[in-house]
Amino acid sequence: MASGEETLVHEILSGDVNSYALLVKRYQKPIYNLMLRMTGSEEDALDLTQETFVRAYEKLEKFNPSASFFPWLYTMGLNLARDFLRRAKGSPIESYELENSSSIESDHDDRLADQIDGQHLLQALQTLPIDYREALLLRFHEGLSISEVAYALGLSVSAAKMRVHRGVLKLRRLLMKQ
Amino acid sequence: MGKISLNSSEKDLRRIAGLIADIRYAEAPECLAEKVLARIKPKNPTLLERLWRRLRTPLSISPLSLLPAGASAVAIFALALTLLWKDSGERIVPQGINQVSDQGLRTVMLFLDRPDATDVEVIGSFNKWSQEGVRMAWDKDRGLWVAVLQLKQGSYEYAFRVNNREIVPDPRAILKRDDGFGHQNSILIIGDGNGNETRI
Repeated sequence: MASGEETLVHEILSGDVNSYALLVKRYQKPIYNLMLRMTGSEEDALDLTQETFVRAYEKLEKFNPSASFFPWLYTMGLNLARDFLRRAKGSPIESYELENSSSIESDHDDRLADQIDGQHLLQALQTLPIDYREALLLRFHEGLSISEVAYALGLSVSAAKMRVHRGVLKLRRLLMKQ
Repeated sequence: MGKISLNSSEKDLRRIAGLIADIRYAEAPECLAEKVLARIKPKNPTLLERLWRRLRTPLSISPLSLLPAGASAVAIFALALTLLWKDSGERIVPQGINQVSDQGLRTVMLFLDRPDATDVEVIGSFNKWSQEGVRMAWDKDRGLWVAVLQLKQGSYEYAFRVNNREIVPDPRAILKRDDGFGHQNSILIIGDGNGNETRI
């Protein structure tokens, strides 16, 4: 758990709303960016980020304070975003499934490492299926452990490990196509 | 020892992981925390819930707690005298909001780290932004400007006026809001005083 979070949660549950402001400040950026990726709209992202934090506050009694707060919060945000997209009947972010993962390994040469850059990577990430994209971002951008990624995405640890691994391979394949 | 060489696939995967780590996220709007706080109410746990949580919270052991009860009481009393009273009768309360008067007013301490300043005041919505702010005192021991306010439950905006001209927000405040005139006000929320410590 991030430093001092257990104490913060205790203070919030004892009635101190200002301590919750600290948690909001700490995690507003990744949650807001999750919503931006999911909706493609700043306005919707702001609404959904707010909703995520309000919902998390309302359910805080159910949170195990010795666990990490962020994966728990993220799960809530992801579910809210998915509900939002279902209501909106489809994501504005186009994603396409690649072929079966067994065919993902590529025979391409080793030039990719020198060619890819951040811009290409972002474009490729946006075309990945949501589950793979979020697994990669949680693992490599947020620095969560595999077990935390598993918790955030509602997977078993082995499934999360596989999701991350396949996600990287899918991304590599997409980057090679560009 | 022989060199460990990575094949091209491993190089790619590592490069991809590194690039993902370096992605620059957009900043969340400044108003977000404020909007969230406007929608929530302080939790009001029952005595039983408090006790249950207390039991579930690991206790930290300090050397003081290892002293016999009598010695601890004397030590606490001496510490309180040192912390709460300064010379010439000036009272210093611990940082934050933690005392409730008979009228339901809470004692709030504000600090500003501006040793270069010669005069500092707090101005804010607690006195309708009156030009006459609450003068802060220079605390030599802490090396900080200090103000003590007595406020009711509610939400307040405030700022520091340094040397009668410069308006600065409280760098310790968690929440800030644009005042529409190119400055930022700090926000202070005071809870219900129901035995729950509330911080700035």
